[in-house]
Amino acid sequence: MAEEKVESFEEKIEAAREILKALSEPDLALDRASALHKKGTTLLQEASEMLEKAKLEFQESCTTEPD
Amino acid sequence: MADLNLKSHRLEFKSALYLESGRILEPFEIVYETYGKLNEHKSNAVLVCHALSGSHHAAGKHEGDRKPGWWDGLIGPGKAIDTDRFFVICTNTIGSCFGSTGPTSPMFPRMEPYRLKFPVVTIKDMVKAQRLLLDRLGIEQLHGVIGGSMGGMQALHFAVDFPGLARHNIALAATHATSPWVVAFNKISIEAIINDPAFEGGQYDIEAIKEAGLKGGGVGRMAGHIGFLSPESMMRKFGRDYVAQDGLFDLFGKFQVERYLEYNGYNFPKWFDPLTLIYIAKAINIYDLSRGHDCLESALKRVSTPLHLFGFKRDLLFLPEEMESIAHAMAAIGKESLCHYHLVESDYGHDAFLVEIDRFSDTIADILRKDFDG
Repeated sequence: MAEEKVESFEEKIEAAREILKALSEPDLALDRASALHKKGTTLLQEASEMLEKAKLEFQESCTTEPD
Repeated sequence: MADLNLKSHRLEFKSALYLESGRILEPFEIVYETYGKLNEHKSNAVLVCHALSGSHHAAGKHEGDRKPGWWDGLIGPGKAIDTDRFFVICTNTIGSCFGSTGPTSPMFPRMEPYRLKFPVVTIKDMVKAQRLLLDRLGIEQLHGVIGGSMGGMQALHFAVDFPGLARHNIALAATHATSPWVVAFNKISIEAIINDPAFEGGQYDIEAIKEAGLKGGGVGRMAGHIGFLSPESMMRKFGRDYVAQDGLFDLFGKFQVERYLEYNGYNFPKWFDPLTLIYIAKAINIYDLSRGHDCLESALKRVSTPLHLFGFKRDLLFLPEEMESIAHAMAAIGKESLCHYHLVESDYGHDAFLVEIDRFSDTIADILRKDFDG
């Protein structure tokens, strides 16, 4: 799998999906599996952070600025 | 119903504005918006005054705007400040950063930003500048002047400094003299800004701050923001909710309320200039309606048209008792018939005047409809 940096939300989700696929390969070496798992978790965490931020931005875009 | 008829304007004043401090502002500019239509006799104007971080954009949307002006719930066709009847004017106060002359404006003749050379302006000065604008528009009589928080301070100054100019003076969530409690909140905002190295003693790149923000300004805004809410509204809004992906035992894992403060705090200096904030906070801090008079009562003796005061039950910044004390002072000088105090049932906090409009809009509508034959 390519190691280039994935920036957008969609790219992160897609990359995590690829990792999940790779993880289900039966002959995957343990150290490789462990590295993939770590990368996948990070990607999902980053994506969910982006989602939370977007949610907050959306909520705030509808409310009046405070005094 | 007619449409809002939102228009933006800019007026340049070549004459000097003599400030309370003894300094002058010359030349100066005022940007303002209008809604509705001025009638033939110029007798249907209502002046709306904004709060600390507010602007002249009080209602409607400009092309591409995501949210409407800050008092859109109150101003518009068929709303409490009914633009089908009234010609509504909202100016950006002098000293602010949305187009009227302030610390980031070019200083004549070198046309570099004033920055710290900008004079300290007061609420009284802001009102005086708006009076000059009305002169230029040929408006000798307002049907009403209305504002909340710093806008309420301006409405009170109109009643005292220009008695009879407005048929109705309506002040919400304000006070007659800023309390040390509010000065203390403002102190955090100011200290946080000036102690951020990126503030560079006020010589920072104004455009760069709009992009990158200013951490100190963000921290200060968080403190300010707490003052706008109440324990009840925070509990309702956030409870003890924790950010889903953050670990409870992660030292920097966050509650939702923390995430909210970070978001609003750190974004603030991107749209509100930090040096301007110091100037406006200073104007609020030194606001005292009785300055230049023997006492509050003697200042209020000048009031000649009805004063409508709105306190909000859980406003922790400008306590309803402070608004009520103005009514007591009016009564003490035999002017109770000119003063109407309303306690708004709300536990939202200070920002209820911006957020919980339904709780007081009918009362405002009734006040403005009274003796209006326009």
